[in-house]
Amino acid sequence: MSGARTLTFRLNRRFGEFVLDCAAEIPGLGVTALVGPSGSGKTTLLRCLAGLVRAEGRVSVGETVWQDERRFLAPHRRGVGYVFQEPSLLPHLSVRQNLAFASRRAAPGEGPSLTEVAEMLGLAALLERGPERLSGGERQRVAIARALLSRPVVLLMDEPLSSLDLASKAEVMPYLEDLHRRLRLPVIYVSHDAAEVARLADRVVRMRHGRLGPMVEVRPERRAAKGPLTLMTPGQVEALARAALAAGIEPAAAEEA
Amino acid sequence: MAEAVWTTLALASLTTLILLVLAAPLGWWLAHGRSWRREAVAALVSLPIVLPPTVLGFYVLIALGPASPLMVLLHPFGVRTLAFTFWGLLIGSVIYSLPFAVQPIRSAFQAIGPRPLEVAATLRASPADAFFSVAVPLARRGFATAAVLVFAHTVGEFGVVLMIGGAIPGKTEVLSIRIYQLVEALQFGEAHKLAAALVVFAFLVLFALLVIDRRAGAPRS
Repeated sequence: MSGARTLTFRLNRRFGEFVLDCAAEIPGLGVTALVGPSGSGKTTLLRCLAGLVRAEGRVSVGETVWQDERRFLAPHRRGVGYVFQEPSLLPHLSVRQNLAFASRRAAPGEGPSLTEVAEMLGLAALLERGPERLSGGERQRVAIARALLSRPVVLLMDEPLSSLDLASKAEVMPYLEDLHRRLRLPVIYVSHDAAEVARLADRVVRMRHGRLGPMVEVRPERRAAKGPLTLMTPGQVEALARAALAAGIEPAAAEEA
Repeated sequence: MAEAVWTTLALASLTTLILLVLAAPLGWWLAHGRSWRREAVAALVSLPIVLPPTVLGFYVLIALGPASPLMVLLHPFGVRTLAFTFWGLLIGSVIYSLPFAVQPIRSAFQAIGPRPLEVAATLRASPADAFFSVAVPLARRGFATAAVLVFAHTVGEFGVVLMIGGAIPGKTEVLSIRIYQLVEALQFGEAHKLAAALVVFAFLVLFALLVIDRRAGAPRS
């Protein structure tokens, strides 16, 4: 995977009553969970980052500028991996063809092969099937594999589990945790499920009325070993994360972390 | 009679081919957005459905005549007029059947919705790439319907081909006109054969359309 690069953005746009006004620096490594009530603009922010919706402002990844006052890079030139809320497989293509659609157009460079990614997400046995013959969980795993095969520089996941039933969620979750350990790129993971966030997120940003709150680290043990929080067990960290979420994440919690 | 069959088939095949190529970008453009400009073009494209074929034929005939500005442009190339030629007939047919190609293709593109194209874009497919690798395959039923409709509509056309073509045997005389002339000449036996063949043909075409529609439920071939 590509070297870790920070995703920096400052975006604003008015959509009727709703105003999106966000700025953040997303670290080049690990999962940043974007949480907040529905209608707070999480999906809109992701779509703006991907270039699917135009907003004013600036977006850059490392040294590469995706948009500023003068230019606007079209979505297909940005190199975002995007996992949509509903599994959005191309219905006229088999699983293998869906994956090949991505790998054939992937950025030049090194990365796992189609077979390796299919293996990673447990799809080896499903490759020749059509999307209509897959369960919801299987479809979403294909969508995730496909996004990875395009060798994105940023991975955006818009509530990838929310359209799934409990059993399918439980089925996909271990794959996400596994990816979390392997991926060397910034991931933004939209969710409003506290358990999901506690299991996956390295940091949490809360969104409200189109604005972002402060970024809160929830898995300090993954950072360089220093500070008192590294002494906490993962269970304690999870409890802290849950507490932070339940409290709506106050700036005080950010300072403490 | 074989000449009339051949002329009809050549005309219908070429019209279908040209219209599929023409209607793909046009239907794509019309499928995206509902500005007044698009609706004006959509109305223009649909005109042949409501206009009497004689009106359309009349204007096309004038446009293809030696005095029209269009033909004056072609004079240096040795073309004086396309009226009463097969190529003139083809141009008339393309205009006459345009709505039958554009409308099913436009609807099919609209039915895809924005998501598959967004997926393609996030997988680094350029708009042109996404058009050919995602939009066209997903709209294939629209293309199939358009092809069948245009072919059948061209075979069934009468007024326009009579106005522009002038029923020259071996060149512009198609089946529908041949039947008309057989009846005029009181050769009812011959007319019967051709007319019955066209009835069977029309039935098969409509049947084929319904079969295409029935497959709507099965998204993957």
